[in-house]
Amino acid sequence: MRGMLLYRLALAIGLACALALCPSSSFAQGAPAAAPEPMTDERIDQLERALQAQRQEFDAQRAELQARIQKVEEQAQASEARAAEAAALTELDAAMEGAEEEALVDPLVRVYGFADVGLQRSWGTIAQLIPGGTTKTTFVLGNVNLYFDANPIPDWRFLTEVRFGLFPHGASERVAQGSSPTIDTTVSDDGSPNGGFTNIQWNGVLLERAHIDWTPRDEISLRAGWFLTPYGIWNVDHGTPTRIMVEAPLLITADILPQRQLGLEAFGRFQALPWTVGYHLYVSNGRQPGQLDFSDQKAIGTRVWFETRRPFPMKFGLSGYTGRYERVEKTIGLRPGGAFSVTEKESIAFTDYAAAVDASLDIGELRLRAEGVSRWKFFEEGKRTSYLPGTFDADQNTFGAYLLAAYRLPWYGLEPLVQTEIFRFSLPLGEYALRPSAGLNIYFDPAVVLRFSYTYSRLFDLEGPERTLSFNYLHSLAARLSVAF
Amino acid sequence: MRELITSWIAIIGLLLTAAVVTPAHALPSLDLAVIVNPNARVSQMSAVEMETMFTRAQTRWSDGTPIVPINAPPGTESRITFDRAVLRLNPDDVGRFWIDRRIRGLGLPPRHLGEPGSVLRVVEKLSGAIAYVPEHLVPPGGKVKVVARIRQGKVLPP
Repeated sequence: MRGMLLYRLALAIGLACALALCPSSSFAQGAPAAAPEPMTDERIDQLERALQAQRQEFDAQRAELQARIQKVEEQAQASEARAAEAAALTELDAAMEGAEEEALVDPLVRVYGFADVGLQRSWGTIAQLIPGGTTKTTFVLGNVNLYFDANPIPDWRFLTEVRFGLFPHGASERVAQGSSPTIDTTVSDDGSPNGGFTNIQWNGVLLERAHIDWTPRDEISLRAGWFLTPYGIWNVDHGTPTRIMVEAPLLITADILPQRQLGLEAFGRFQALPWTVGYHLYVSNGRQPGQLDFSDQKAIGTRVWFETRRPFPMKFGLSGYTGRYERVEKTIGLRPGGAFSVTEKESIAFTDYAAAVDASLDIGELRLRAEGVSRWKFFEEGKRTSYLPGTFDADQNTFGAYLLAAYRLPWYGLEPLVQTEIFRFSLPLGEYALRPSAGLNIYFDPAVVLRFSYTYSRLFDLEGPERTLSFNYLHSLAARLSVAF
Repeated sequence: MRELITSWIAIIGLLLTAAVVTPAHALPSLDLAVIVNPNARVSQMSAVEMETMFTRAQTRWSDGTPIVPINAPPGTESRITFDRAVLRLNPDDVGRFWIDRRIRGLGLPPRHLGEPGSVLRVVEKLSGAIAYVPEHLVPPGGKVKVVARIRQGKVLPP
């Protein structure tokens, strides 16, 4: 653009010079070839004035020409600026639309989770019996749980939750009767620069859940894989940031219903505003010693729930489960003649029937939770479990129920709570357990909460022969700082 | 036992002190218009209907189209006003609500867009979208459909 300006300016100056020279030339050509007039001073002055006038005229023309050139250049520049601005706006617009779409489209995989660490102490006669446990104050690493949530295509989802922990190093095996050896995972760190002199303890991974969901509609979804059993409150709440109480109720600890199952689940919900009604229906391997099911008799279960948020949030649920447990011992032998013999024998087999009810109410700042689970366990003859050598377990009814009340104070995120649980099981220590608890939650932020709890557990008998229960009480104090992310 | 009590009291005291310095939230109130795509087969929505959509209890419109709720960013005046009026939750309660849902494996909250202009454009283009913007920013001409208004913290018909 600058070059063109100079070119046009030079052209204009050249034109102007030509114009300046033209008058004298034409004057010379227009004059007859007569004898030249004498050059008087008056004539010279006249010519100078004419030349001066022509120069002024040329200057004016040049100025006008320059003004026109400048105007054209300004117009060109303005046009270019407008075009550039339009292009930039288009580009920005496109970028913004892309950002909007990107903001609304789910990423392929999302990672989130929670973690908690804490301090705890248990003491009392029962504490002395806990294999591998301590009666002193100890720091603990509770959960480090990561969720991997993938939506490869619309309506399809894969969700897995992995818990990392310091287990099994230092934990106690729970398979041997009468003894519970402590697991030691110490190994040499062969990759260490010192050539393997360093010792490390490898730790564990627990798959909390891993399932594939297909959700074509709200009313019907299908889930296949390893899922949390849909029952009650605690098992669904699942994580430390969500649970109100730190310490799990015995009905969870004792696995009255299996906490997780491997199978197929149908679930969905219907709107009957202001209520939402939901259901779960599943078929699974049920309670098994491992992943595999050694019978074709599958476990089935269901849950129905009713939820509303008006006039205040509340939810009620009913759950049921039945399934057969079997432990199979397989013996492979060699017969005379070289043929193999395979013998399968069910050493333990029983059928479970379980039912659960739950209710949650959030009335203003008051949170109420109540949950009850009952299980009937019927052994098949000759396939009973044995807790103590020489004895066999009878058919059992186990049940547990708790009621929790927590109130959010208007100050500093404080939430005191109380809970009472009653539990019936079959142990030589006692038949019933009563567990009053008190606690305090401190919400620093929705994602960060510190929970304290104190629980006193007392075992007692209500029926049967009178016996002296020497190991019959437990104090437990626990604190957990949890963060969700 | 005395050491036990002392150590626990010390820990609780430290944490209570930390809780005391947590800041409080202001109480804004803004007039909002709840908008949907102009082709949506709905002309008016109640608070409970919007609540089921923005809590993801309902994820599809009656014709099967996926519902795409679009929130304002957390902490903005629009978001706080909407959550208070429709979900009846304070900002901290909203945070806890979605953490609970996430930990239970029930999914994530609706996405949010910052600029009302972007929200309007998305709702105009996306058939399943539902969102809210300050009422005075709703353009005339039917590019989006207003299905409810929130004034003085109350949900009103359009």
